[in-house]
Amino acid sequence: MTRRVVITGLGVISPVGKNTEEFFSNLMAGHSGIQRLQSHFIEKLSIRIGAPVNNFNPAEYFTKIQLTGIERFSQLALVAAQQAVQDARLELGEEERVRAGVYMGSCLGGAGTLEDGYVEVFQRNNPRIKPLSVLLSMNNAAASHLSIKYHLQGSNITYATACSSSAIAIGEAYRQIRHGYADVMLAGGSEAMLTLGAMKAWEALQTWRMKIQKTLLLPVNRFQRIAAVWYWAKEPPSWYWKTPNVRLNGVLKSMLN
Amino acid sequence: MSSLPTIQRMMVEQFDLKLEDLSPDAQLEGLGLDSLSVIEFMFNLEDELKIKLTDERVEIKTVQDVANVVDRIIAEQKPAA
Repeated sequence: MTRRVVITGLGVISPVGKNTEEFFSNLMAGHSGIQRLQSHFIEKLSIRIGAPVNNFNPAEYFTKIQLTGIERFSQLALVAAQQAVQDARLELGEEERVRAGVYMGSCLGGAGTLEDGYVEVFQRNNPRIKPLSVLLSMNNAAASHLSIKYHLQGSNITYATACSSSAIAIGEAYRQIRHGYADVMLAGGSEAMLTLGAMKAWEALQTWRMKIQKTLLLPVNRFQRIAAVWYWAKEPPSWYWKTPNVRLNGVLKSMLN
Repeated sequence: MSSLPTIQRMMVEQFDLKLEDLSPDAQLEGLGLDSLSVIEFMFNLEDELKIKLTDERVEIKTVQDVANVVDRIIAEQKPAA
């Protein structure tokens, strides 16, 4: 037996907006959220752009005691989830919570905390790192915080499937309800990987080029899309040539939009 | 000398608590501290007071309990004169 599944609440905090209305209107206006990064370590990178969640002050949402045990990527998840729960006007009884779960996606989890630990151990030769490092940085920390906060006692799983992590989490949550394993699922994803080590790793993968970076910083209109495609076609990364259909489709779509 | 004033000062700095709420018999749970934040706090105390907490399991429920544990360890780990 399968059941219909409905989405009853939405929430988002992202480089494009701090709630669903702001997020949607900014997307419609063509804002990508990509900008020049102001990080203190930016000089060490050839990647100088990114899409940070600006003006996010954790103190507006959490006490200092709570922040002791909540990493940035979990903070973002909790803020977005709170919007979704409020939007859904979700109120669950004791028995209903047993059949309510959390599926989240996160690829690097608490990358910042992990890097802080590495700096202490490998750079400063300090044998002591913070005792909560594991609990802060593990990929399933955000999902765990959500279960704790909303007393959701059903299945709790975190997917780490690269860029599709959150989409997989939402899709699998859908299947949980559709096939009767759960009645309510809180699903989504969060990431906070604009750290020196994580960005250095992406830089090493050469998925970015400076020229493309420049074009991405511009507001989007038809001519600028064409310019972006021109740069892309002129100096694409090596893997790009191996996927001719992607290239052709990308060029056509950009020209026609 | 008791470590209580240092502990109270550090709790104010680390957790944004008010000094007047940190009486010796104040319950940590009542202040909003859970076991994880206490662990993090004890770690910082080790750094501040240059002590090494032992693996011994002790019951810590109040601010004074923290001070008692720390005072005992300071006494034990004090170099012999």
